[in-house]
Amino acid sequence: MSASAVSPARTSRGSYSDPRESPATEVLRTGNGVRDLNPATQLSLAGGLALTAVLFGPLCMVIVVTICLVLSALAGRARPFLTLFTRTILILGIAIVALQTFFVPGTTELFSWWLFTATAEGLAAGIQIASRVLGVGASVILLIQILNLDRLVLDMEQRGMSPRATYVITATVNIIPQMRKQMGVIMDAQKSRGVETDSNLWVRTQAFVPTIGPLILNSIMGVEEKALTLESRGFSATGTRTSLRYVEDRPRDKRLRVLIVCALVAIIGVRIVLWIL
Amino acid sequence: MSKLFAIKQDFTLMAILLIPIAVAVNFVGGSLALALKLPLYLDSIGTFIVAMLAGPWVGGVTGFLSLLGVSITDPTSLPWAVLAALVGVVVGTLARGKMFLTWGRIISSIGIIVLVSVALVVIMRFLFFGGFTTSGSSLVAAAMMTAGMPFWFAQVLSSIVSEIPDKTITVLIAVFVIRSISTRTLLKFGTGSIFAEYRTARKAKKKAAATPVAAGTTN
Repeated sequence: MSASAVSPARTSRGSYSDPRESPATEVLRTGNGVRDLNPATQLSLAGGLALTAVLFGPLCMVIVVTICLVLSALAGRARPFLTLFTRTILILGIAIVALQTFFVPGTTELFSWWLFTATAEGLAAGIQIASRVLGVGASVILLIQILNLDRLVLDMEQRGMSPRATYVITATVNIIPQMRKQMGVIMDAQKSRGVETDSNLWVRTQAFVPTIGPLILNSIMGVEEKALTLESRGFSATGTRTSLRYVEDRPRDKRLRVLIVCALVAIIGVRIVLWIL
Repeated sequence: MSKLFAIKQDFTLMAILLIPIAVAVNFVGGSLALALKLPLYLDSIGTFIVAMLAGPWVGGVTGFLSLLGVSITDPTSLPWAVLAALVGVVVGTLARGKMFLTWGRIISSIGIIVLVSVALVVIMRFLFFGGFTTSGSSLVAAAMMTAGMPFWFAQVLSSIVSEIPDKTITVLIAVFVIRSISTRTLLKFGTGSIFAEYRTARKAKKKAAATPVAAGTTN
C-alpha cells in the first residue's frame, strides 16, 4: 500500500473505480485462487452445491461433499473443513440415520434390539434426510472456510448495500470478544463480593442475573456514546464515499457465476424431468 | 397498525448500534449458561431486549444474525436462524402491543412466545431433520416414543418441557433489564418509549394518589 493519498476516481455514487488507477487503495487479496474469488462467486458456488444436494439423493450428496472437500483443499483449508465436518454435521447425520431407523414405523423389520425395532422404511428415510443435511452442511462449511468477512462486507458495499447494514455485520464480529472479556471482569467482581458460581443448580441460576445484568446495562448505556462518536465521523452523511480498500470482481468471476447459474438451470431441469418420468 | 410495517423507520441509528451488542449478549448469555452448567440455553436474551426496545423488525434481524454467527462454529444450527428471527418478530410485536408492561400481560406474553416457539421447533425439526436431532429435547422425544407415545405428541411435549423454563427466564431477564434502564435512555428507542411512557404515567398516578389533598386544593 502506497502512502501517497490519491483518492480513486469516482464514476457514480456507490461505484468504485479500478483500484489500479490509485496507488492508495489496498486490494484485499490472500494469494490463494479459491479464497480470492469474489465473495458473490463463493456464495453462489456454495448455494448451488447445497441446492444440488437437496434436490438429489445420497449419491449426489457424496459428490457434493467430495467437491466441497476438494475446493477446501485447494483453498488450503482441508484440515479445518474436515474437523468441523466430522464434529458437527457428520455426528448429526449419523444420529438422524440411527433415530429414523429405530423410530419410524414400518412393516419391514430389519432387526430388533432391546426396546427398539429397526425398520427398512426408517433406514431409507434416515439416509434420505441425512444426505440432505450432509450436503447442505458441507456447502456451508466450505463457505465458512473460503469466505473472508472483510471481503464479503466490502463487496456488499461496492454492490450498493447501505454502510449501515455492513456496519452491523462488522461491529458484531468485533464486539463479541470484547464482551466476553467484560463478562470475565464482572464475573470476577461478583465472585469477590461473594456471589457463588460453582455451587448447586439453584445458586448457580441466581448467579446468572448479577453477571449478565450489569453487562447488558453497561452496553446499552454505551450505545449513545457510540452513536455520538460515529455521527461526529460522518456515519449518517449522504454522498459518495471513498474506500481505502477494494475487492476485485474479475471477468473470470463473472464467467464462473454465469456457469454456475447455467449448471443450476440444467440440474433443476434434470430433476423436473426425473420427477415427471 | 401502519406503524408496525414501517420497516425502514424502525432501523434508527440507535437501533442499528444496538444490534451488534444484542448479538454479543446472546453469545455471552449462551456461554455463561454453559459456564454455570445451567440446563437452559438462555441464548436469546439480547434478541428479546432489542425486540422490546426497537420493535419486531430489528428483533428479527438480531435473532437471525445471532444464529448465523453460531453457525460459523456449529453449522447444524443454521436452520434455526429462521426460528430465532421469527421469535424476535413475535416478541417485538408483543412489545409494540404493550404486552410487557404489567405482570398479567407479561405472563400471557410468555405463554404466546412459548406456544410460537414450540410450534416452530417441532415444524422445523420435522422439515429440516425429519423429526430428530442431537439436541436434548429431541432425545427426550425419542425416549417418549419408545415408551409408546405417538410421534407428534412426544415431539410437542418434549419441546414444551424445554421451552417453558428457557423462555420464561429469558423474558424475565429482559423485562428486568428494561426496567433498570433510565427513562432518558428508553426514550431514544422506538418501542422503548412505550415503557418510558408507562413508567411516567404510573409515577404521575402514584403522586396523585399520595397527595390527594394538594391535588384537591389546586383545582
